[in-house]
Amino acid sequence: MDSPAPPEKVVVLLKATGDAPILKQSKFKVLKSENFVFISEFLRKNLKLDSVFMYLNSSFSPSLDERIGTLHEAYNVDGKLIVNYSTTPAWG
Amino acid sequence: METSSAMAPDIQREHWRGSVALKLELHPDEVTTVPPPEPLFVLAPRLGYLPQVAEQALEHFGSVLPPGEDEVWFEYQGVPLKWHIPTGSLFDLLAGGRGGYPWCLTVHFRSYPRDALQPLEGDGVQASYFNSLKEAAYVLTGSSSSVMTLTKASQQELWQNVLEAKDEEFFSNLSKMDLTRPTRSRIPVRVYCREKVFDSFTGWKSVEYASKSVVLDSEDAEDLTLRGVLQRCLGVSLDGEAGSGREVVAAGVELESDTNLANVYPHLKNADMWLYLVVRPSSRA
Repeated sequence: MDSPAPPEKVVVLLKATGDAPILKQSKFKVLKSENFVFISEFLRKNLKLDSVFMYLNSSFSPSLDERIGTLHEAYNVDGKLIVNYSTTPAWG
Repeated sequence: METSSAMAPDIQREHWRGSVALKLELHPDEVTTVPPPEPLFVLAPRLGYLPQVAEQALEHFGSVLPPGEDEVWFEYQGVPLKWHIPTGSLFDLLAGGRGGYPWCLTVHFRSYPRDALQPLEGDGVQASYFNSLKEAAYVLTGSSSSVMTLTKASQQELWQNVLEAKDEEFFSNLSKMDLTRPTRSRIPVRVYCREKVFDSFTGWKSVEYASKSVVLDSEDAEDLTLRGVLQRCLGVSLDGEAGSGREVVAAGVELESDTNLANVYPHLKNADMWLYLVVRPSSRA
């Protein structure tokens, strides 16, 4: 059984791919309860992009209604959830 | 495994052949003729996706549509349906267990609800399927390379097997990939949980979703039971009063709360290698 009070936030690392603009700060703490769509909105707002493609561990795109906590638990690398983003489809 | 392996191919075949009978009616706003067109009755494969029946629907309703571009979408109880969820799981989640068969849906070809649904363009369904398969590959083998290195031709072939629900060809094609030889003892499970009535007020807000990579070599056998997985995944309890008001369904089959998912997965997994579990209010209540 999981303990009832796990840390509320997890570390998300945002990595640009292709010609996507780079963020000033690439490491963030995100609430576990946020959905993945939060990352896409964050990127679009901060980089002023119309659309952004996102991948985990340079391979697949999770569903936008997936929770950050769930994704982190399943796919973290050394405790970080690595999100690659690009302005065009990358890993087809 | 308790299930006899001789039965396994039969279960898998029945699972792949399963369909949901749909009764499609064109939305009144898009009808330009008097009298309105007859509804269309069609069988939609359980493992497939709703847009698969779009072509048939367009053939049936195409002549009465107002001018414009055709963008198909489906609606149930006034709510646009997410097309990336396999048809069988959508049915089990939203309509199953409540009687009313065939499943009556409204079909639209105009005014695609871009705020509510992900856009569907070109081979969007195929892309969504392969993305899901990639994610499953990552859970099963620790890498998505088995799917990413597929040639265009083998992708097409695999997708065609899914569309035509040909399980033997599909698994024979799949066996050429490393997916069937998992290197990590984990299985990918998607859970959709509906606690309330699904209608135009509640809509998708009535549905909770989570995916889980379930570790098989856990020391505690309870971790692998349906009860244990749902508890950890969405905090859904199958015990006590709350539990008795719920039922859990995979591929249209109701599962007992102490079912070991490692035994269910090989037989009832979907074509994207995910096991879809649906939790819904009990039909006995």
